[in-house]
Amino acid sequence: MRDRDIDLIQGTLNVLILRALTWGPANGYAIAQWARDITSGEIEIEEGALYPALHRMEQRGWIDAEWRLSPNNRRAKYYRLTTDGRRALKERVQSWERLVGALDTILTTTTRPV
Amino acid sequence: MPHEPRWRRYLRFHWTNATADLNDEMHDHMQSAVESLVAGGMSLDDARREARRRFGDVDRVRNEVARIDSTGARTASRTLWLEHLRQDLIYGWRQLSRAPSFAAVAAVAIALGVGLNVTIFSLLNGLLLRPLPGVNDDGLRRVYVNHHSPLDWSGLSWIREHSTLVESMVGERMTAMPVDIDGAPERVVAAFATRGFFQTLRVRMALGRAFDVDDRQRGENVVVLGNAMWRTRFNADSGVVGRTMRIADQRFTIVGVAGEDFRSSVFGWAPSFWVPLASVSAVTGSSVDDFGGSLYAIARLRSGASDAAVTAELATLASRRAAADTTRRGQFTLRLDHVRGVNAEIRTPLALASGFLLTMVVLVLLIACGNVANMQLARGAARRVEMGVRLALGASQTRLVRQLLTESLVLALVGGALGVAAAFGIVAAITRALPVLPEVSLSFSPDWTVFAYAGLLCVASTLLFGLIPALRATSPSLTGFLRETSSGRHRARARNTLVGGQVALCVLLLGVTALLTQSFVRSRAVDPGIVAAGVMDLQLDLGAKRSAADGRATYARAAEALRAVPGVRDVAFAELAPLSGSNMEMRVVPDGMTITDPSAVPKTYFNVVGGSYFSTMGIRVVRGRDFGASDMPSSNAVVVVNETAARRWWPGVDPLGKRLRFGGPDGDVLEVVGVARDAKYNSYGEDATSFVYLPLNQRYQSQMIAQVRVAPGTTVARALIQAVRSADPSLAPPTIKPLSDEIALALLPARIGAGLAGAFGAVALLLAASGIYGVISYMVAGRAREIGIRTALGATRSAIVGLVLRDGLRSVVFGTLIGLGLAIGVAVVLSHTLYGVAASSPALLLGAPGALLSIALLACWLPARRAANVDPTIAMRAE
Repeated sequence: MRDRDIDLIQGTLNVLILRALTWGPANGYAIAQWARDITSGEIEIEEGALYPALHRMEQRGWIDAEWRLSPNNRRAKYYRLTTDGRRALKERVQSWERLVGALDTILTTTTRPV
Repeated sequence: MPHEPRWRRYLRFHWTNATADLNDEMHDHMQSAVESLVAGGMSLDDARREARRRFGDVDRVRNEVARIDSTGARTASRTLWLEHLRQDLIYGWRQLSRAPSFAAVAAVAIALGVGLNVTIFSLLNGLLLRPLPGVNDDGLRRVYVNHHSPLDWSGLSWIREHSTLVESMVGERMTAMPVDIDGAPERVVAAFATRGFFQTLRVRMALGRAFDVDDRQRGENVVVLGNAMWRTRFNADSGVVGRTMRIADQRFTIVGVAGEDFRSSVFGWAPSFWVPLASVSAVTGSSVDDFGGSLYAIARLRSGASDAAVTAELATLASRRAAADTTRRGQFTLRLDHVRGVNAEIRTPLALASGFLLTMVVLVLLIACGNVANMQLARGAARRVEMGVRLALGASQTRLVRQLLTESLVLALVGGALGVAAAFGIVAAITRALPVLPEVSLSFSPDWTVFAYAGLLCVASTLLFGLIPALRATSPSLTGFLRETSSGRHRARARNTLVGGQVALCVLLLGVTALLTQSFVRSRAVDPGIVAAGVMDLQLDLGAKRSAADGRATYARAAEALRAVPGVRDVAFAELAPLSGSNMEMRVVPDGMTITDPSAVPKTYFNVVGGSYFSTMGIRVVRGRDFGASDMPSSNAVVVVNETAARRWWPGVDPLGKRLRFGGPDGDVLEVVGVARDAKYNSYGEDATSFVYLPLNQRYQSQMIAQVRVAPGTTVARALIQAVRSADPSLAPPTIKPLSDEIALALLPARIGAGLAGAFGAVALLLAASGIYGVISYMVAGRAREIGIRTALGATRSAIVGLVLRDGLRSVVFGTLIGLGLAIGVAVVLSHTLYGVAASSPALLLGAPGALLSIALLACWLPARRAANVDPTIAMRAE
């Protein structure tokens, strides 16, 4: 895989995780389930790929982690969005919207090139 | 959500078990997946398989996450470490500002120690470590004959011709030349340079070009100006190329000006201009082949050639040369050396002396650190409670020690900065006080080497005075300390040991000071064998063009004119002034000596003298006669020898009438007509050495010093110069100097050494005394209660004083004995090199310990007296 592909995928994963956490803390499995559900299985992401992204974002300070006991007495790591993470997500959304707007203008314009 | 500082978040990474956490997280994911699939109707095995498929490569994920975690932990600990350092620096600064008197005293002590060290190091750096200015020194090496001697031209050209590993080789020789720039004749110190000089050194030219004259090609009289001369004498005229100037009465064309950075190929030299070696016959009259013998040579090695390979090749060339050339004086060795700092012949004695000085200032620094360490120990005792509490709350000892060390580092840096500033001031003052000679260029201004050295000293000092007190203050055995009073036994022992050590070092330093001073004083008292007071030296240069007959006549006219000046008692001529640092040596074969081994031919120093030399200089002729009017070129060639020569070469026999060959087995035959009293020729401390005098009228030299004895109290400088010029108006006005000034230069190193040692000794004494005072005061303060009880029980004041003194002086006496032992050891070593030094000298055995003990007594007595005057009731309540 080329480096740019990896960056793109990582970036997409980051946005996915951040968005998933806007509804509240979740563990890695829950995030994977959510991704699978909302795209009705259209997007199959390798679930394991979430974890490097989760750990990197934790070190960057975009998400925070907390250990809880699951109902089956298992140690489970729950992640939650931080202020920095919220801000990062908002920036992503804004730049995406700008891109979409620009593309829209290009695709619907009636002006001819000279 | 309150903003958590990142570094605190990292703490969680640092202390957890990352591997176990990762395993748990993966396990939780898998189990959750399996559970939910099973709940959806799948079988357990199918569910497991499907969960694994959806997850992906577990091991790869695990490895990648582990890598991310450890990188994060590393960054975290680095960040943590930096954060700790920042905190510690602030904490240290705050602690020090809360104890300003301690900080001030400690900073001053460190400033003294570091300042002295940086001063000496700056001087050494300027002399020994700096590269040649303005020269690309990549692959450049000096070449010496027989360890540190310069080459002669035939040797240099032989190597140039026959070496394959030496890409190019050049030589430089500085000498005074008569020039005429503005119409007035003058003497300027300039240099001859061999072919390819500027090109080999890759000197950047400011104007014009470098010359490229074959060394044997006569007639090309060109000159390259030095940048300084171009600025001062030619007003930095950009049209100077093509102009001419007169050198030794010939026209020389200026072809270029050297770049601003360049001085010379010899470190410390700064000749005013360069002429090709080929012009040496035009300027001095001698040919290239028998030119002096002292070209300072530099070689540029072929790229890739190693020093070892070149040295081997030079050794081969040297032996080939010795075999091929039978007039050579036996074997000689060629040596490669680097191009930093002064020449090898100066470097060795300089390096020895500087090693000595550096050791002394390091001792001073150790004493200063001992002072601060003692103060830190006392402070540490006071902070025991704080440290004990922090240790009990879980702080690691390492962390606390780091914190205390950082505090010590702040102190060391503050003191070090003060010391460095003082050092720069002292070095600048020394530079200004040095005699200014235009042909010498030395710079002692600080460069990054000096700053690095200062930084190193600060760090070393921190460890020296900070580590043990820090360890002491944070040692884990708490419970006793929380209850202990400040009269703890083993802490007192540490402090007393420190004081003892300081005293030992101080006695050592004082002892060395005493020895150096004694050596200097004794040197001054040595009879130099001449009467220097009242003799004025005039440097005459008759130029190369004159015939010997004309030159002799000129000297005779000058002597007559000089004698006619009122106040003049006697006139003499000499090629060299005594004790001036220059000497000439020649091989001799005395009558009756059979030479079997060419390398064992005896050598002697000599001088060419004229006029009434011996009476002018106050040297008695004990046998035979002085030179006189009868000694002309046509008559018998004669020589006067000194007593040591007579004793060595013709023991027990009258030397008058004996002959010797001057210059070697084939040299000129000279007959001994007189024996002169021994004198000092090269240095005050030299051993008896043979010396011969040759008459000027039989060995004409174009450059002589007129040595004129004048009556005391007469100022005749201008009249003397006039007299010389009247003998020949075309001569440049001679430089005039009293002989005693020149001789004083011979004593300069001894004087400087004694002066510096005195300064170090004084500083060491000051530091040691303040250290002792501090420790005794502290000890007295700690025993206030005990003293109060004793006084209340009827002890007299003198008994109290005696008690304190006894305790305090015990370590001082011990240290004095050790220091004395060390000083005696040093004296034994020095007695072989320095004049007038003996291990049994009373100045050493009594002076140094005496000085220290009296100061120590004073330092102890003041607090002791205070202790005795303490009101017992107050003392007992204070604890």
